[in-house]
Amino acid sequence: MRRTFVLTVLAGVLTASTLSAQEREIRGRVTGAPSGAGLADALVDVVGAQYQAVSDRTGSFVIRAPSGEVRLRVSLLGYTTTEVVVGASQSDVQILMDQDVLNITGVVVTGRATSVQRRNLANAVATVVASDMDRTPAESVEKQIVGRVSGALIETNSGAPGGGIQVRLRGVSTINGASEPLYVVDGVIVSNVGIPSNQNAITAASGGSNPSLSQDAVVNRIADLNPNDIERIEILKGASAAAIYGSKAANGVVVITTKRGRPGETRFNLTQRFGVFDLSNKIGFRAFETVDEAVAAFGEGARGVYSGTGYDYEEILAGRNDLSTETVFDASGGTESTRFYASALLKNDEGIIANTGFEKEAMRLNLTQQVGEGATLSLNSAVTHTLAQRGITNNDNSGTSYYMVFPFTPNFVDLNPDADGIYPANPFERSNPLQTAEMVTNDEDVWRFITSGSLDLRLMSSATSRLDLKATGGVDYFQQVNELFAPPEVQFEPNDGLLGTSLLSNSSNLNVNIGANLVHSYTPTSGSYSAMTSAGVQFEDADLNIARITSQNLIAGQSNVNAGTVVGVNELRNRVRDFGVYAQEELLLLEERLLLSAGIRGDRSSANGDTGAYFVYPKAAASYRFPELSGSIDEMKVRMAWGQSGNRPLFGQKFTPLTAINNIEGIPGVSVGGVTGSADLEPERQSEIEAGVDLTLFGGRATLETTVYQKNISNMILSRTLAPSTGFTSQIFNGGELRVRGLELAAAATPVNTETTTWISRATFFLDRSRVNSIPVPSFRVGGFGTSLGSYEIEEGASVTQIVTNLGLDAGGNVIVGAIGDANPDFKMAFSNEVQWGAFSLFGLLDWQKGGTIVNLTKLLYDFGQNYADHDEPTPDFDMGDGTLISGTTGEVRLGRWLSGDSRGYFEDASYVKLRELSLSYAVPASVVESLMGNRVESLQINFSGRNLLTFTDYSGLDPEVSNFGNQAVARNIDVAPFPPSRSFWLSVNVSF
Amino acid sequence: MRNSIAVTALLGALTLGGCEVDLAIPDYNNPSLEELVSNPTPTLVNTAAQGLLIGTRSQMASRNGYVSLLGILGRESYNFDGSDPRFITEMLDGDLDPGSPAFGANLWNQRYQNIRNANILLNALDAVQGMSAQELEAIRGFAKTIQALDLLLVVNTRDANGAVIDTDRPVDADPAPIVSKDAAMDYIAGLLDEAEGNLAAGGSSFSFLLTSGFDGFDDPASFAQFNRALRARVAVYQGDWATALTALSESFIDTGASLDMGVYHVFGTGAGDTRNSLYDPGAGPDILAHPSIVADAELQPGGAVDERVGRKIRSVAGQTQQGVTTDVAFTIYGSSNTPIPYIRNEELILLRAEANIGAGNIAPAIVDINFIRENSGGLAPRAGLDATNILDELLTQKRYSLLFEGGHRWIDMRRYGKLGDLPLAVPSHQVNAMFPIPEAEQLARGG
Repeated sequence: MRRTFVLTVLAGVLTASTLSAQEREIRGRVTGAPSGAGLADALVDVVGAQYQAVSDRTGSFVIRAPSGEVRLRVSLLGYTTTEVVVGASQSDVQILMDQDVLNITGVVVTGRATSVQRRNLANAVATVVASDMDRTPAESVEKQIVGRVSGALIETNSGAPGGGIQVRLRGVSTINGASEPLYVVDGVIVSNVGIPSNQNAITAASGGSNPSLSQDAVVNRIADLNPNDIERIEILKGASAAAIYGSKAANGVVVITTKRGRPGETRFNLTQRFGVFDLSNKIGFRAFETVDEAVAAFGEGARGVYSGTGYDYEEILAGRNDLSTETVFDASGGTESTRFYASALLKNDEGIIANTGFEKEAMRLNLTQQVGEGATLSLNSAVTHTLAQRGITNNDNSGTSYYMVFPFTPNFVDLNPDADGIYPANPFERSNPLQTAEMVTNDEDVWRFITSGSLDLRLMSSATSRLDLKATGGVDYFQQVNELFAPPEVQFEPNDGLLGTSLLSNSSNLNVNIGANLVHSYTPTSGSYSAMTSAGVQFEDADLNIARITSQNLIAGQSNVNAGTVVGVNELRNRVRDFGVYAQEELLLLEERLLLSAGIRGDRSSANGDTGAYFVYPKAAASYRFPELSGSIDEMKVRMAWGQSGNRPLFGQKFTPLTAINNIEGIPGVSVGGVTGSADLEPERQSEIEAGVDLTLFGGRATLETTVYQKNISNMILSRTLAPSTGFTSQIFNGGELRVRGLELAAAATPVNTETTTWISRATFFLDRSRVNSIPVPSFRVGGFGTSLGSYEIEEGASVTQIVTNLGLDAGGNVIVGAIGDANPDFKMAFSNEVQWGAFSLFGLLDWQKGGTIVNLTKLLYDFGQNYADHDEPTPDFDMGDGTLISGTTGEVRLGRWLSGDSRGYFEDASYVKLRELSLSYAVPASVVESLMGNRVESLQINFSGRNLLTFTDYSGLDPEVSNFGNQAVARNIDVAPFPPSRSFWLSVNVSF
Repeated sequence: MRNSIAVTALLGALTLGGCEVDLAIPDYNNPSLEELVSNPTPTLVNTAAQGLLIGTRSQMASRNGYVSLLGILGRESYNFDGSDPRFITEMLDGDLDPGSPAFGANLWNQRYQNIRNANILLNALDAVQGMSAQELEAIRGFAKTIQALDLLLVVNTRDANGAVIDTDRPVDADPAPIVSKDAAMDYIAGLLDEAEGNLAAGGSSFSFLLTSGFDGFDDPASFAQFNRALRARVAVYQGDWATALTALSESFIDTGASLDMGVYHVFGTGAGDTRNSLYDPGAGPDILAHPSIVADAELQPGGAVDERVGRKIRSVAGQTQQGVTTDVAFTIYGSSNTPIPYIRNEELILLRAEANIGAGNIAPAIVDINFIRENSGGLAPRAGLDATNILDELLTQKRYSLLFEGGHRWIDMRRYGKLGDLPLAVPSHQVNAMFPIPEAEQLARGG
């Protein structure tokens, strides 16, 4: 039935392509400056009508047009959109396109199936293109857009190889809901879930006062993408831009389009990189001058151990500089009807600690097949394997995490292995970090398969209207296997009486997407306006299943979980199904100066209390271009957009479960858990209004984009703290309102643009402020380990990211609890400059964060151990506020204040400036290339680059980008024994042929 | 054009079809509470009864659980976990913090969670079909006994700060008032007495399974002896000596039986079971004993130290943390499976001595105390015991007999106003007398 239908439609399309009396054909050729070579794949359309054509491999095209004089518009990514007038009798045209170095023109993907000319765009949608992402390798795509997107706060959680990076668009959008942006790759929603490794079974981090498994140094799975495959990324930052994605769009949408072949000779690209990672910061140890000092701090046990030598254990642990490599290969090409892009990646990052590192192997094939004149079939598929080895870091309660052990280990004790490679036991803690790094493995293996298919079908085309069907379907499947093995010989293993630990977790995730969209474009014969109407349906199913096995007492030292005598299992399954419909109208009026658009989306979800109810999200936007205002302003655009989106509940939040996983001597029992759900739970609702002014200046030499926005998040999913005497500690419910306001600036300029020299300079700046407008419950805490260690307090009238702690004593000697700071930075700013001078190209990116507060619990641990580097420095007595004086050395006073109710000594400013990227490329002259490699090779480039080469900060911890709890809606910036940070240096050779 | 109409129709059909798609997805991970509340079956009811044993065991044997924290406060034990210095800073040095979930605010939530479990179960008993009246009564007696025990543990930690007793209320109702310790103890006593009545009408067997920790106390009649034993402890804590002596006589007290006879929390290493985390066998354990236990111990006639010290304490390499030093650890919990008593014969004999002292019957108290000295400690009977010194002697015997098995030392010393007699490792340390009402509980009441 369906096949018959498709064939009927195709037949209709094919028979429709004959010229009518009012039409003519124009032939032309599109070429690019400066070389004058033909440009394939340029989109040619007739302004004021609905004819379109695409240039072929030589740049040639044939387009139908109305009789009479017409204006042709040609657009192509990377080139300035160009318009030419074709006279009534003219049938041949040559069009030269300039490179669009500032990315001023072109189309921006804004809808499910539609895009808008950038010059008309009503939202500040950021676009990052491949050429801006390929200079310095990164393990995960988020690092490639750091500093390029105004409004995107991108922070790594630790220095661990393999990812674990949070992207927060336009501030905090939720407290208890999903906090990650929605990632859409080639039309398919892909999973960015982070699955804990279960290292908790070794670290016992959740055994303390915060039971969250997110302390497992979790990798969010967008790390599986191959950044080299990405053609462009569009970032829809808030609800007004992303409303069409409905109840999954509250945190913004990252729309990723992968590369595709262009007609022409097959082009090959090979990049080989060599690099090293290098420990970039250390905390240091206290220096013990005398044995008595050592004994005073570490007890009599230190007397026999004291050596007078001070080992630099951070360097010994994390000082590796092994060779890392990356090989990137792609091939692309095709004919007008069949195009392909194929790629392969082999990546091996060697970590700075033994048994750590990151590997990625990826292959992709993107095929595009034209079927007749009006139908295109695309198939994009990618297979990726990643292996992240992340060691044992972050918080623990078992003396196993490296930087949890150092604070209690004086640097005079010798922990180095003997001649036979046997590590001595650490007499001061339960483990020897050098031994742990050498013998304990923590491997996260992921195989991932993402495939999507789409059918673009031109159902109808005439001078005035066009109707397209775009149907997409896709599958994103991955299997993550976490294997941790601590052999019986490791020092910490006997601590629980069970020798050896082997952990095996198998997680699988399947996302299935199906959608269909209809797009109707209409321009009346007068050409006075054009209208684009689109409508569609989407169905999505996301099914995550995590099964864990914890096996202990591996007497034989075998890692197979069968070998343990004490075995625990755990399964967690989360599944959400969504169904949505939308319709949207976009009108271009007044010679394409005025854009008016409106849309509506309705969503149902299995995660909502009522799975049958539609939640409706409207949007509306307008923009107007004022061309040639004054001498230096080429064009000014004012724009305003309003829209709503949702954040549906997480799986399970609506349920009140009975816990059935426990037993006693094998006798099963059920009992209530700590959380009670809410059977009528609804999605959070975000309303956003944004307004902006965009300027194009000095003949296209500079642009400035200014945006202000306000988001109001209402009906939030909150967790009401119940009186624990009810038997429940919290209840999930909807309520309250959060407001976020912000300012975003993005500027770009080409101060120099000559034949031989181009200088492109860009800057982004943004800030946002949040305010909890109302919460229907008393102030409550989220995240952290308790007041004295810093806790986020959600309080009416305050910033959602405010941190509270003990601030000292009042005159009566009572501890004052209050706000000490805010995790959210005052602002972020980034500068990038690229200078191309002949064959040389130099690029640098500086990333500046001002403000933000971190609680440095690592330092507190060092003070507990009387082992912080500045411990012995003199300091004045400190008055607690009630006249009590704390005296002693710096370390003693800091800890003494904390013990007496003043935790402020551990809260620090998170400001930093980082040299994120520095890259110098040299394009070997063609003559040299030819003499070296023959005329088969088109170009040869050599590149030196580095990432995170320099960090300037007053923060005394390892890295001001830190989150012990991984990606968090609110509670980041808690520093507990993270993986130390590294910088990387790369030498790359790129050959195109 | 016809084609576009067809496609539009198709899209419309998809939309309408989509509206029909049932998105409902059940909770794949847990059974629902709703079933137990509105549609209880005998199987579910019995499973919920068994769940009470799991609930009441929770947070007993963890490293920051009831035995461990009360042991630290009563100067029986230390926890030298380097990752969390609050085992010293908050427990021994500073004040207990109502905002610190693992310490000052601890030992509250789990107890009330299980009290809610018991309430849900008791309500389900009114709705369940297919169980006999005797079976229902037996479960009622069991559930109320466990509920009373959970509440007693709350009062033990919060003491004069009070407790919440009106617990069978809707979750969204205003929080129940916090009542005084006396009112809470009266409520517990009444609940145990009610439970005894239910057990008496409960027939000859329970419909659910009990653990091996209840061997010998696993039918309604013998379980009632356990109920009476708890009632005796409550009466002694209330200073109601006559009731205590009556309840003891109805309990399983028996000087002819093993001192270890009693009812126990059991632990296991099987999947889903809970381990006894107080088992800490390493050469440098975190869970350590207070050195005063050895220093203060009496010697046996042959010169050897009190047998109880020999049985319960081992020497380890000296450890120092934040000025606190010890070189002894426990052997009481010799494996991850070692049970922890709810209550046992040795405590009952000491409770009888204590009740007799309170009632002024010194002679029978001397008999019981010397029985414990000889049979548990291997010590000579103490001569010269009289009204002036017998209480101290009793507290000493309770200290060694019930060492590190449920905070007895701290509770007993508090009851007699003797917390000031506990040894301080560092002069600036203090003995916290009671846990505060947790911050969440205070916030729910507006402050």
